[in-house]
Amino acid sequence: MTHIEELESKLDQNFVAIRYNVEIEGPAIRPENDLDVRNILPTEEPYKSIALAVLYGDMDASLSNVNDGLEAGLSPVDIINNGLMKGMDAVSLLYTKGFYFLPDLMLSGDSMMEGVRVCEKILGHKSETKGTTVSFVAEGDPHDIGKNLVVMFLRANGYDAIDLGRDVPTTEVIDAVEKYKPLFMTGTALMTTTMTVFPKVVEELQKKGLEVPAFGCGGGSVRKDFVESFPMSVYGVEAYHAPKLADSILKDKKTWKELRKEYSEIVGEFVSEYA
Amino acid sequence: MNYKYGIALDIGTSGIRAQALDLKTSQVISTAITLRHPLPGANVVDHLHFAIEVGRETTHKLLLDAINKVIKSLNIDLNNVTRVAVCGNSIQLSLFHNIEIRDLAYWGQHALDRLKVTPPQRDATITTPEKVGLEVNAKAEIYIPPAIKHEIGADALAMLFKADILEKKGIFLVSDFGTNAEIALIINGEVYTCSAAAGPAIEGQMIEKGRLASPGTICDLELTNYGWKTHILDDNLLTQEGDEVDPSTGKIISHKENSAKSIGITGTGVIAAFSLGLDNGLITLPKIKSPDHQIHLQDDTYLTEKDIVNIGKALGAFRAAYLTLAEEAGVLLEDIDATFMAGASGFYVDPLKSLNVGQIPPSSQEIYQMGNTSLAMARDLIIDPSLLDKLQSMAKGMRSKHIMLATSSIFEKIYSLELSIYEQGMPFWMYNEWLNKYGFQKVAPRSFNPQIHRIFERDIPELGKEGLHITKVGSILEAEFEGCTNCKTCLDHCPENAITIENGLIKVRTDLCSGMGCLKCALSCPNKVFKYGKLLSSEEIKAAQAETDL
Amino acid sequence: MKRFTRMIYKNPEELIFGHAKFPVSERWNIQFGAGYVVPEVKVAPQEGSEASKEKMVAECRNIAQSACKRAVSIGLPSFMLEQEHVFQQTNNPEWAAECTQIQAEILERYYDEYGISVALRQTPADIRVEERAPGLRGSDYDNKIEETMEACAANGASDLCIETMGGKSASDYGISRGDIKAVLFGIGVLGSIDMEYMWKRIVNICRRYDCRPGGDTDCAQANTAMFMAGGLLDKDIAHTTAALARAMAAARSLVAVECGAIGPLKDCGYENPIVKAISGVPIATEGKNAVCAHSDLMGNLTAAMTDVWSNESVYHRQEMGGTTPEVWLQATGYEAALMNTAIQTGTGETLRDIYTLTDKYRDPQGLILAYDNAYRIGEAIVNYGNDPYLRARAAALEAGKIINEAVDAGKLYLTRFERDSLDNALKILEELPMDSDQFTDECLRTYTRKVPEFDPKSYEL
Ligand code: B12
Ligand code: SF4
Ligand code: SF4
Repeated sequence: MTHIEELESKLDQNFVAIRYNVEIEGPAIRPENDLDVRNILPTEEPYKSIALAVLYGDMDASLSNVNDGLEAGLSPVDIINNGLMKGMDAVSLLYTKGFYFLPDLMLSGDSMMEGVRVCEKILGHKSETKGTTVSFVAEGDPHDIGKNLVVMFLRANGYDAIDLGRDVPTTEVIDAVEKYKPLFMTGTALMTTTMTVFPKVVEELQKKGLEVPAFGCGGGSVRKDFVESFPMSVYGVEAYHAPKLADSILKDKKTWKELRKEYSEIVGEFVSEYA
Repeated sequence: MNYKYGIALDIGTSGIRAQALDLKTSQVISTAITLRHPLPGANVVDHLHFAIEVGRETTHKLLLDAINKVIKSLNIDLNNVTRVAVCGNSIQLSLFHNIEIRDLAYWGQHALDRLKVTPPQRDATITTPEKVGLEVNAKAEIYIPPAIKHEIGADALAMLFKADILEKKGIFLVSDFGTNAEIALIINGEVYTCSAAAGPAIEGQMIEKGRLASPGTICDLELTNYGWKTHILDDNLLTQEGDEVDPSTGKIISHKENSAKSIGITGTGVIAAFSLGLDNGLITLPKIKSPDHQIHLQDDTYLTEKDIVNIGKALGAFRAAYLTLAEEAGVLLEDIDATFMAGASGFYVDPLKSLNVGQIPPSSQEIYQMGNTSLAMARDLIIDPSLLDKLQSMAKGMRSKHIMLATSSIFEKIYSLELSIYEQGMPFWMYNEWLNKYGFQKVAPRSFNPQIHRIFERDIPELGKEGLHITKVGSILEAEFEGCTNCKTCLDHCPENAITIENGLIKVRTDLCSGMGCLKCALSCPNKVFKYGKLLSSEEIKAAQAETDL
Repeated sequence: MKRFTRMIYKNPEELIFGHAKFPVSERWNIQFGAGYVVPEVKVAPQEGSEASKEKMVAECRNIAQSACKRAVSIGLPSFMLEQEHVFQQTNNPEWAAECTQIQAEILERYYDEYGISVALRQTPADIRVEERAPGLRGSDYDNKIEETMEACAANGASDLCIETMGGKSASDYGISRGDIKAVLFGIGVLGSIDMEYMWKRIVNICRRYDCRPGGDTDCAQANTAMFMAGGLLDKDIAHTTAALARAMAAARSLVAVECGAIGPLKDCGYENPIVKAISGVPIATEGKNAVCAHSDLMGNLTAAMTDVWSNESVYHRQEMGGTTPEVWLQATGYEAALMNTAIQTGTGETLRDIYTLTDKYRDPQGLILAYDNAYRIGEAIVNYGNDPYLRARAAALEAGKIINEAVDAGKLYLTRFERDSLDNALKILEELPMDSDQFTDECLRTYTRKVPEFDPKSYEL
């Protein structure tokens, strides 16, 4: 041991200097070293690498890991549930912690979906999901960033989220409901001229004797009192609320009326619009 | 002596501006403006929606009533008016012209197909007072300049025309500081345009204490040794110093005697607060670090965290849009030779603050504040009607390079980064890293010593010898709803006190009503009988009654 | 020109204040790196004194007079007075001549009267303007610098220094944008080229007089990065990036020595410890007693290997304790006394290590300059000693390695900003070509377009 090393061993660094920037922001850690993320991530290979590729939003690595796993004879279902979905769970967690941001979410979401697609091809059919949901942006409206988020969060949480896109004619929405019998439907509109589509959709559904457990309506220009002026609907505030609403329909058999009443409890946070 | 007059008109989303010109001398005689738009609502989509709900005819009529009222206060003999030129965005000009508007109200093909709408050309047009219902000499010619493309209207053409860079060598950025934020990048005469749709927060709407620029509004803030000093618009729309306050508590540090009382804050004021707040850490996105999470200015004007996020999302649209243009055109922002700021907000905002918050590229070196270019181009048309043809060929020539942000994946990626900054507090260095990761250019750092060229004292440089006249506009819409129980729920729910009820006759004042973005009246009606679309202007009701009387 | 391809010091343990492998003697019986530390004071002329030559000469006289008076009144055995030129001094060689002369006279008087060891360092300003034709080479300003150097040497300066700014256009661009490639180009390539041009001439002048070629500092580049990086809470550029720039600066500042400069190297070159480890020349440094000039994150650490302890710069004015030359010489003088006491009592190593440890983990910028780490960066440089580009790159990579090791050992923590910036920079540096011509070509193509002030002709490229 050199002289300085000996002295160093006696010294508590924070006694002489504190890196306040680190104190405030916390030290930089790799995402997989976050304690809560560690609890989520699988420990055995190749699931670990598969999950990590999703965590890093690395599409190429995700695909090649999944392919390697399939070649090694792992079941596609296991790869999805123990690898890809775990990675995405970790991403969602880091997002709510403020460590990850929107672009991380989108990259990781894409990496996960690519992996799922490969697995489903082997499987020959759609993988087991929690249920099917349908999302669309109102006819005449181009604003799809919010809807894309909704779809991403639903998929990340294990739903088979059908994305009808933007500028979707009402008839297409009705057809999709007929075809998929979704557990939950979401509509997004950011223009006052297009949000008027929502009550029309409900009207058409009722005319055809169709129903969805709940129709979440959201988007910049949409307001709660407007949404609550027609039946079947619930006003959606944040995109990440969507899977929570769907979960409560799935698990607790909540109706749209209950969703309206218990929104804050269901999404697990204070929502000023519902206060 | 028989004078000949011309009238230059600018129909903006936030108000009408008119000027009378003496055709012999080309001098401005008088100016008349309104401080709001005659149609209910705060933005163009509200106006469109209103038109769709109550009908294009009614809407056209309400607009022309207002315009007729405005030009009457110009104090000239309207019988001697031989030329009228009108400029504005596609929506306002279509409403004025009374042509199809639905193609502007919906995006994509589906709604238009279903409604069997054929989008009109919106080329340069000469029409007559009779056709549009303008109360001037029947023989006068009315000039309507062309749109560049669809929603990129004649107002955008005006700002390009007045910036006078279409034939110059170099790279120029021209940006309209309005709700729709039309932005153009011109590279050696080649024009790339887009509409960033920034949102009404830019003009002070959707901000709790926000207001359009009008007397008594805070339009700028200045950093002093102890706090922030407000700048308030006076009755002539000139800025005056107001109180100096501590923004985190609202405590007055020094009171300005005789200063106008603040009645709210304009978009430029919000931008100023945003810029100063970011600089001194009072704003740490998305939070305000004051005891009550608000920024306080004089006379109980304040900003909330929600306001900050709203203005951020609007500013983000600007940055995402000019970055997208630069990426599409393959140029670097730092290579831009000059940046032009158009529109009233672009005139009253402090360019250094715009630059600080990224509304224009931070690396901008030469910055020009142009003022109201729509009105200026209308004046030019009055003086030289042959300009109309020139404008038409200019607009035609530009049509191909319009960047549809709606289908641009570059824009979507960058706007997501903006949302990350303003809603989630992503640090700016990370924003730049993401740009880099996506393969886009980073936002170059602030220019060392930006030069600001502000040519006039007011956004309308010359008011004329008769001066400025502010015209009040607004009409009354009326209806009797079948099944109405006279319960007055609608009246109680109206946040703007726009409703009165007289013996079952419901009246709505358009100058107070916020329109289609609100509709609390219709939504609150317990009997679901309040139908906003059934409201008609009083005269139409009279006409309808007259018809039934026959 | 001989490049360093081997370390002069064989062991980092040997690096300590007051001692250099190649001590330097100057007139008025003063030695540097010869077993004791010399305090330095430097004071900038008051604003307004540049209005006329007479005012400037009087100003310089007063500064020298005050410093000498205080030195003897508190019993300093030795000190160095440095005069850093304002534009007018360098641009008018006759001003420089008279100012130097009057200061030399005063110092000599005190030397004669009290036997105090003194030195007079003159540092002409680099007044060249790259973006104004003909650029850095052969302009009027360039010629004026040379004339002024000569005027100083001829009129009593005991050594000459300069802070050249070659490559600043590119490095500024890189620093403000976090573009590490531009930083490397500006410091490692352009800076080194310009140093060679300037220093060959300075060394030639010194040969003709009793005047030593001192050294250069990368103030214009690495210090710009350090100042922009600012305090712990600032975020304009990452402190890790600034640390890499510092490591590169060592490869560049070494060029002065390779051209014949013998030290003591100029005070604000925070990279000096690395240059000393490589070349064995004495160095001037600054830290806690330069707070009058700026704030850094290694106020004590920089004393660990110093031979001349400086206050950097302060305006000439009155403080409660006297005029600034008096006050700040007193500050550096007492610190030098502490070091000298430690040397003679055999506790030098302990003091050196204490100096080092107070700041070693305060910030990555200090970490890489701790003497053991400075030595490692020195080794990385001499490994590629013959190639200015490759050695600057190697220095930065080694600095990155040092930081990462400290992080992995749990001794230094980084924020996400510092971490990501470092990772990105290292990735880019690693992928750069191993051929300096190829690198230079690439950079010429990119940065002549991106940096309007950058003029390849100034570097004969
Ligand atoms: C980005 C943007 C665009 C982009 C859209 C890109 C894209 N692919 O989506 C572009 C530039 C293409 C665009 C175009 C237009 N736009 Co635009 N645009 C905006 C802007 C700036 C932000 C909208 C946004 O993306 N917000 C962020 C997303 C994430 O929010 P969101 O979708 O509302 O979703 C959130 C919640 O609502 C929720 N959510 C949404 N749905 C659901 C559903 C459920 C179930 C749940 C639980 C939650 C939920 O989740 C999200 C939060 O987590 C706004 C102004 C503003 N500052 O808000 C104007 C705005 C929406 N646009 C507007 C207009 C009018 C247009 C145009 C039609 C007209 C024009 N001015 O040119 C054009 C279209 C024609 C054209 N030019 O192509 C107006 C609408 C006005 C009104 N009152 O109706 C606005 C308000 C601006 C303005 N001019 O006033 N726009
Ligand atoms: S509630 Fe009042 S302001 Fe709102 S739309 Fe109805 S009348 Fe207009
Ligand atoms: S709320 Fe409905 S029923 Fe009551 S007064 Fe208004 S329109 Fe009539």
